[in-house]
Amino acid sequence: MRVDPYERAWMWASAVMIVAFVATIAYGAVTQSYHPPSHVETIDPKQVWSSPSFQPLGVVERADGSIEVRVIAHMFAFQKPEIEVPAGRRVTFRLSSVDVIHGFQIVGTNANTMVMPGYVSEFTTVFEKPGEYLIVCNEYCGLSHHVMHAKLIVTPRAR
Amino acid sequence: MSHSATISASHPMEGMKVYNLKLGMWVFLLSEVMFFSSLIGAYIILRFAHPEQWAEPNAVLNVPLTGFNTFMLICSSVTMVKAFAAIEHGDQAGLKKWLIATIILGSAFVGIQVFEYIKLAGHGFVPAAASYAAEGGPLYGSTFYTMTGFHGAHVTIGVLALIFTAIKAFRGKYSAVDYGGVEIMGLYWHFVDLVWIILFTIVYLI
Amino acid sequence: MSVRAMTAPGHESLYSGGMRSWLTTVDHKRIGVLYGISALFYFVVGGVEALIIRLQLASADGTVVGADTFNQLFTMHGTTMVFLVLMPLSAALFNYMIPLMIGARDVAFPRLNAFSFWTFLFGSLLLNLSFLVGNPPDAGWFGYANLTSKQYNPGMGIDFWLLSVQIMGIASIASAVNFTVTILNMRAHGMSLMRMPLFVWMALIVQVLMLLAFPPITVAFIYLMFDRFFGTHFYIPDAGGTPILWQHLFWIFGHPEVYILILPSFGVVSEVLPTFSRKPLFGAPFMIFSGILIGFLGFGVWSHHMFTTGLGAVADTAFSLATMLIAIPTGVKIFNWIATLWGGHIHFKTPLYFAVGMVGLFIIGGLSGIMHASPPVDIQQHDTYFVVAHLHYVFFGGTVFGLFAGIYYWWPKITGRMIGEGLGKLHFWLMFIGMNLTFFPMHFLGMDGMPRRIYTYAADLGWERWNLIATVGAFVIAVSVLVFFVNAVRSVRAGEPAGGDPWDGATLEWTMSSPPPEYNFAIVPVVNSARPFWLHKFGPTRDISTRTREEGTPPQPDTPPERIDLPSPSGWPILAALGLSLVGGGALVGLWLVLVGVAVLVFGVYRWAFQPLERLGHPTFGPAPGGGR
Repeated sequence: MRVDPYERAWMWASAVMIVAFVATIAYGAVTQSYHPPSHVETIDPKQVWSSPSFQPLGVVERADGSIEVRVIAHMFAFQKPEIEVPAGRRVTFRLSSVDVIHGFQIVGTNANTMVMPGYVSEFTTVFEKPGEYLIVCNEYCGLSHHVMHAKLIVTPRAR
Repeated sequence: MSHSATISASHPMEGMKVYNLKLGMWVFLLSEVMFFSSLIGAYIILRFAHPEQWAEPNAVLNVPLTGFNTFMLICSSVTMVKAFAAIEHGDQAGLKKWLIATIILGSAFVGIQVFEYIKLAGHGFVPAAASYAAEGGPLYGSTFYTMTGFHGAHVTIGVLALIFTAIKAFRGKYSAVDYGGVEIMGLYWHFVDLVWIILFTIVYLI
Repeated sequence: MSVRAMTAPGHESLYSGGMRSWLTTVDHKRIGVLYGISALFYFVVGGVEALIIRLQLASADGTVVGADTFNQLFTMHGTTMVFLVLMPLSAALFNYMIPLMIGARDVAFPRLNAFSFWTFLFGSLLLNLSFLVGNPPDAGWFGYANLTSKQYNPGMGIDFWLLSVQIMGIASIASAVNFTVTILNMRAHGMSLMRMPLFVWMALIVQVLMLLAFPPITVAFIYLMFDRFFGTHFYIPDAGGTPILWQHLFWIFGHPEVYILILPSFGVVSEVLPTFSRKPLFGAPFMIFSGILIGFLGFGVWSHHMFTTGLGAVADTAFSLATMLIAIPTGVKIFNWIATLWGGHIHFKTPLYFAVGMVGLFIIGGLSGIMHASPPVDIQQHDTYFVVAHLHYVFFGGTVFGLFAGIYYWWPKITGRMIGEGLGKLHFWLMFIGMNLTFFPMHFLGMDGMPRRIYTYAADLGWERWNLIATVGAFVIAVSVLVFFVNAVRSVRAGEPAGGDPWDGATLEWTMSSPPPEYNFAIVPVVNSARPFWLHKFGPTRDISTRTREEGTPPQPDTPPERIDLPSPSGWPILAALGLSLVGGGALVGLWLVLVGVAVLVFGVYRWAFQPLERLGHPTFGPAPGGGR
């Protein structure tokens, strides 16, 4: 069929772009682990409060020197509401909800996960900058969704 | 409809060569395929996530009775085909006879399913059942009733539509050149039957 | 209705007749007008809801409304705008213009068409009835489980929501069947699919998307309904159900839905730009294929709404890739629109303003969308105001601007009158400025961490300035909408009469009077080009893509040379629609009302099925009718 020369040029440009995008994404995903964390672990919402993996709540030091932070989200607060971690160390957050879906976003970082009843959400990160960070629930969860927040304090590295 | 003088011979009448009613029914059935696929897809996901909540076949449900029910529905598809074949040849009497047969078989299917529901409910197996006699968990009841219930609703609506069709047949509204209404009912009915065969297999047999 | 002969085409008798003629109409043009008026009314309703939201958020610790009212407001605003405004406004244009553009006298199933409208209307009334009983839904337009479960949402609000959306979903599926058959089967002689106007093409893709996307959300709602009414456990985590199932089912619908919402605007722009640049659409076949590709790929991206739920590397990558791929056909469209304008003889009229505005604003919305397509970036943006900015740029800047382009473009054809250019351009500029004032700052708010759906925020977070600016912008939009209504009323009352072809158009709808006669075409046209009217008016020189020696399509004669029979009006569709709505609404009242609804529905359908489409006394046009049938 007869194709206008401009259209033909545009078709080729589009094809090149497609190949470039696909290659970039594939490279990023495969070699650079360029994807959000994923973790499928189920838990009975009725057992969360008493579950050994959430006792004790809050900051716990693991055997390998990394930090584990256990948080339970409920309407309308996070337990514990104040979390203190050192800068420069690997921190693994483990979260679950006992009622509806909540969000857990540490503002100013790229920590953002849904917290769902029936599942444990887990992600690992490192905080380089000391300071105070706001944690908000960003998944609409009901009447007092707007006051559901917590605080993360990153303490400077030990000298 | 009239056309102006310049009809180009190289452009025959546009359209899908399938009359409106039939194309419409096919298109509608396409959306119904998506509907039942979503139901069945969700069922598969839920079942693989919690296989422990499913009872063994025949532990809760009456497979032989439903097997007979399935056979009846398949027979009703045959009678539907015969009804359509009859009117294609202008056989009014045959159309009426086979439509009635289809209606009877379809109604019997619904009736037996209602009977089954009542018996199950009597044993405590209802949609909200948290557990049923140590066999099956909450999801078992939830999925069973939604899938068979919506299929049953489709059969019921089909029977109702077939009754309308039969009334029209008795009033002589169909002929060897005007049988679209019967044909599209046939399409719908065969679809409903096909869905049941799939449902029966995954709900009752597996 | 008695037999009458049309003496003066374009005579406003198309819309005359009392309430009864409107309640029983099966004429696609009247049904289009009904959809349009309903949609514009709900636009105001949804807009007022938005204004209250903006007033509440204008300052920190706002006290305009309380938390529960706020939650109800954003739920109703979203549900209203998506289902009661954008979809019916598209439906209005589809209804009115598609038969005209393909050379048909009505749609394939006229009574089903009426049924769709009345079902939509009753469903929309059911949703808003929730306000009257003081219990509007409050779980967001997306209603994530398990917040919507009976345990966490015991009131009736969610039931109103799910029943009304289900009812309106049935209207949409019926419409989709109708228009798919109409477009595929009822095109005029010579109008092959590749000669079909782009607006009709986009409409066809939208219908297929509706057919395939609405069933999954029907299932999602059925599961929710069963959980709430019958105690099943689909979304209840305690019993093995999972809230994620809702998200999957909802977004399998939700993502194609956004393409359902934008493709009609794309179609309008593809009609408006060529007309006002006096040039054919650049690369029409590629515009068509791009539309098809967007529709198809649109089914493969739904989990990009769920990147923070922990789907896994493979799923994240696959959905991210597919989302980025959709940008390609979209980009093709944008560059083809620009190429259409390039070198054209531009006529600066209001429809063109809105069309160009649409393209520019949609580009901005598309850019933020592409950012969302990357999971690492989306992790920072999910559930923040950045997403609110994105969705309003594509829905408001994209869909609303595109649909207004269509309203201004086809206004003369529909009403028979021109609509003011001065006020039209004022409307455009106010809306354009207001829109950017309102939604651009939301990008910054999102990056600053402001989450979605919060009814107020503390003063020390630094979010006040942009929120205030956004609120000012919202009121500018409100003024612009007021300007539009003033313009519209003036036009209908005393606007300059429009001829059949005020814009020097290329397609079939411009070949007859404005408004069209009830039978649309005195003579069913024969089509030899994608731009049949231009071919007739200007010869092959205008038609640079087809070197044809065939004739164009001439304008329609004043009176039909042969007798034309139209389908008779019918009251059964509205009765059946009422029955269906009573079944739905009855679930809120008691079994008895559901049964009444079933009886009314069955009776209405029965009478409908047994009423022949033509009968003695139906409207007839043309030369002296013979004896009875």
